Formats: sequence, C-alpha cells, structure tokens
Amino acid sequence: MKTPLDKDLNKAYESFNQNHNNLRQKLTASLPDRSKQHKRAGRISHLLAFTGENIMKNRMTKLAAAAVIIIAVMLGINYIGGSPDGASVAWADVLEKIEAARTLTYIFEIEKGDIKEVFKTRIKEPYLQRNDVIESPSDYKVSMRNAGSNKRWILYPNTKTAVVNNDEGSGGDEIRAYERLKKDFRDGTEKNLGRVKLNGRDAICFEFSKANTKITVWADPNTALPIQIEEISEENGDIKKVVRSDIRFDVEMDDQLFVPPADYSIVDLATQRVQTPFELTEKHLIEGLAVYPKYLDGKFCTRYIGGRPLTEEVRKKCKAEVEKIESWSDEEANKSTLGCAFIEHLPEGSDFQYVGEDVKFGDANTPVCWWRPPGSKTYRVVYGDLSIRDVEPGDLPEVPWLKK
Amino acid sequence: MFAGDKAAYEKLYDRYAPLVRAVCYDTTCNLADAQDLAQDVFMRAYEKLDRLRNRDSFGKWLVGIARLRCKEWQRRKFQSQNNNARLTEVQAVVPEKPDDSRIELLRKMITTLPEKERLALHTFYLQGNSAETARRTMGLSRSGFYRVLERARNRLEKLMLEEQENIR
Repeated sequence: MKTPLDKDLNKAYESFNQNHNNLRQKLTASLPDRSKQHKRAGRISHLLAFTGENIMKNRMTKLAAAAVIIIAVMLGINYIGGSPDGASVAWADVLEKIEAARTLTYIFEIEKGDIKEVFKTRIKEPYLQRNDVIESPSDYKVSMRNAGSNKRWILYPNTKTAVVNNDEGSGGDEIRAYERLKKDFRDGTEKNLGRVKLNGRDAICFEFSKANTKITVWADPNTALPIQIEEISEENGDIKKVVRSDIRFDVEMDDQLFVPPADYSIVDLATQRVQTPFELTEKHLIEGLAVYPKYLDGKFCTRYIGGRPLTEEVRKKCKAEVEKIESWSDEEANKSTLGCAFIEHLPEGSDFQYVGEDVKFGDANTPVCWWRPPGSKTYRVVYGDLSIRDVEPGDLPEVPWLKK
Repeated sequence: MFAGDKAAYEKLYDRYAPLVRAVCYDTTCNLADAQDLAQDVFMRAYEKLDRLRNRDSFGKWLVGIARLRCKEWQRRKFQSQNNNARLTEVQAVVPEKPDDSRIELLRKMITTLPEKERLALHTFYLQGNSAETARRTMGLSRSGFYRVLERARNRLEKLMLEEQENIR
C-alpha cells in the first residue's frame, strides 16, 4: 500500500518526465551519423543488447572474475609465490621511508566505471600539491592546492589564467588522501605477501584490507622504497581503482611549482577580483565587448558591469544570453574577464555607464558605454563599431534608468 | 540503415532519461538546466558507447557520465560567474514557478540527501517503483537496496517534518 510520502514522491518525480517525447525527438535528430565508423550489424546488436530485460547473473559474475584477472595481466602483476620469510624487506622499513620523505612524485590513475583520469602528481610535505593532467575528460591542464592556506588553483595555460578559490576539502584532494593512506599504513594490519614480479621487476608485496578497500603496496626489495600503491574500493556498487605508480621520493621541488607563474592573471572566485601582471587598458575593454555580438545575433549584451537594473525580465534576458555564450572558447572568456577587470579597476568617480543592450555591432552612432578618465573633463565613449571618442558631459545621451 | 541504431538508442533514452534528469537536477536545482544537461549526457554516451565494457551496467555508466557532466557544469558556472559577474547573477537566481509547494519542497529536500540515498530514490521512483530494476541500476543486493531506500525515506520524512514546523 502506498503511503502519503510515496504518493508525493511519485508526483515529485513526474516532473522528470516533462516534455520527454519532444526531448527524445530532438536528441535523435541531433545524433551524429557514425555509420561509416562502425559496422552496422555489430553496433545494432550492441545497442539492442542494452535494451534487453534479462540480466544474466551468472555471466556477470564470470565477467567480474575475468575482469580482475585481465586487469592483473594488463598491469603485469604476476604473483610468483614466495614466502614472507624469503623477503628481505619488512613493512617497518617501507613505512620508515614513506614517513621520512619530504617530497614525492607519482603517476596517479583513478578509474571508476568507464571514467578514467590520469595525472602526474607532485606533493611537497606538509601542504603543497600539484596535478598535471595527462588524461581527463575535463578541460583544465594543471591544478594546485595549498592545504595550509586552503587555496586551490586551476591553471589555463592557453590564456595564462589561474582561477583561485577557497578549497574546502573538495574532491580530488590528493594531499589529504595521501595523509589518510599513511594513517592506514601505520595501523599494523599489513600482510606480507612476499616476493612478486611487478611489470617484470622484483618487488615485495604488502596488503591492507579495510572495510570496503583493499590496499596493495609493492616495494623495492633492495631500497624498501614503494614502487606502486593500489587501492581498490567499492562505492555505490561501482569499483573504484586508484593506482599510484612511478613513485619517486625526495625529488627536489621549488615552491614556485605550487603557485601560478608570475605572468598569469589571477581570477579570485571568492572576492570576484582579477589581478593582472600587466596594465589594463581600453584595448582590453574593447576586446571584452567584442566577444558578445558573435553569440548574440550581432548585438551587444544586456548588462556588462552595469546596465539596465536587474528586474525579473532583465534576469531572464541575461539568462538566455548566458546560455548562448556557454560555448565560447577559453580565449573569449578570458577577453570578457579582462574587459570587466578594466571597468572594475577604474578609480572612484569614473562614472562608468553601460548602455549597450541591443546595440548592433558596427553601429557607429550609438554608444555602448562610457567613463571619465581621471582628471579629464570629457568622457571616453565606446560606440557600436567599437570606436572610442571624447565627448563633453552635456553631449552624453540620457540614461533612461537614471532619470529622476 | 542507421535508423536501427537510433531506434535502439531511443529505447535506452526512454528508460533512463528521467533518471539522468533527476541526477542532473541534484546539481542544477533547476528543471530546464537538468533537461539540457541530460540531453548532453545522452549525446556523450552515444559517442562513447564503444568504450562501455560491460553492457549490463549501462545505467550505472550513464549515471557516472551524468555526474562528471554535472561537475563540468558547476565549474563552468563558477567560471562564467566570474567572467561576467553581472550577466550571470541570474543563473542561480531565477526561480522556477512552483507547481505545488509541498512537491517543490520535496524535490529540493531530495537534493540535500547523501548521494547514495538520492540515487536509491531516483532509481526506485523513476523506474516504476520496482526494487529489482532499481537495485540492478545501483549494483546493490536486494536487501542492501531496501536498507538505503528506507534510510532515504526516513530522512526525507524527518526533513519535511522539520521544514513544516519551521514554516509554522
């Protein structure tokens, strides 16, 4: 029998079926024709197999077991037996090396379901971490964290921009994950599996079993330094696999590796301020304004650090514009940022006004915005053709929303 | 010729699109954005179908893509908020017209639950209240699924009660 909560939940979830047929049609119409890239028969059967209702439980179990074996073979993990007695290195030796290291680098691979990301990770104890992207569906190239000051930077090298935000323990925090791992290493639950081969190399293997996680550490039998650390866990029924390989300890690292390069502009999301290593000029404003007509049917945007007051109607219009510009490139986004930064860095009393809403790009007679430079009696006015002219205060057009 | 592929994909879409929209809604808190994101998830999944190793886990795989797409959406939103602060003020602010305040509140409350519990509710209530289908999508045992679902429902009931007392 359904409870009132069931009824409400069924009603709440109905909304996710809204407009379904229309959306399906749109999707189908926009699916790319990939028939040339795939064998038709194979592809159709592959797809139709998904739609089948029967789940072959036994087959799944067999597949899962096979997958573990395949992964082991792919990684070149080859247990060749051997007893703990034959091992020359004890866990205490490995742990001592781990604890003593002040810096380390490794290749960090994380795989969950069909999503895989690979980074080169650098850690400088106790606070600093840097990840250089090797493989990821995301569009950034470098991320850095300072766990001491709780700051996280993402670098976009193509625009020489670093976006900084407060880091409140968000995902992907490898420095904290590594600290947790070290805590697990100290709890005395390790099993020494003896000598093994890892990718053709001799290693001593240790294993830790936690609630939902199996941790395996391979260490060099001569130096006691870890070669590879692997964590396999289950999350919501998904297998999550994390592999740290090519581990190197006490590599010399300059602190400069963990802050954005000096020639980068810094965009601070917390304060909404932009710092640039160069002087912002009118040129940046013009370039920033010029981005919009391409996406907004040849017109300038409704608001640009100013403009018509934010009524509900203006908000809706701006929202529609935001959706149109979502596909802009990093370079275009950066130009817009620098244009905004130019305005925000104008000294007090510059009297900046944006009136560019619906002004057509190329219109040499209609103003888009203006401001008064420090010490000047005239205003600098930008027109729809992006030319700039000096205008007397009395010749400025009236701004409708400033009318008394 | 290619129609065969598209027709099969439409069946997958019919089965999983509401679930993907619900997962996206957990991030966007806005139905229109959730619908857009879900469309994008299905486009990406179509492109990547050949990479799916276990065809039986299509639902889980799709939810994984949706989560990743939601993270991208969030990051892009932060970026554009900065890039054009005045323009994007509207993104998070424009409220949807509430159809029914209790149902609207319930939808918002679901977004505050732990991820696993949210997914249990989504899969159960969007797949014909069938525990068997839902537990398969989540990769849980039957008893494990019921435990999570029960926890989610209890938490939701408590939250709704608290909220109603606050309103009074």
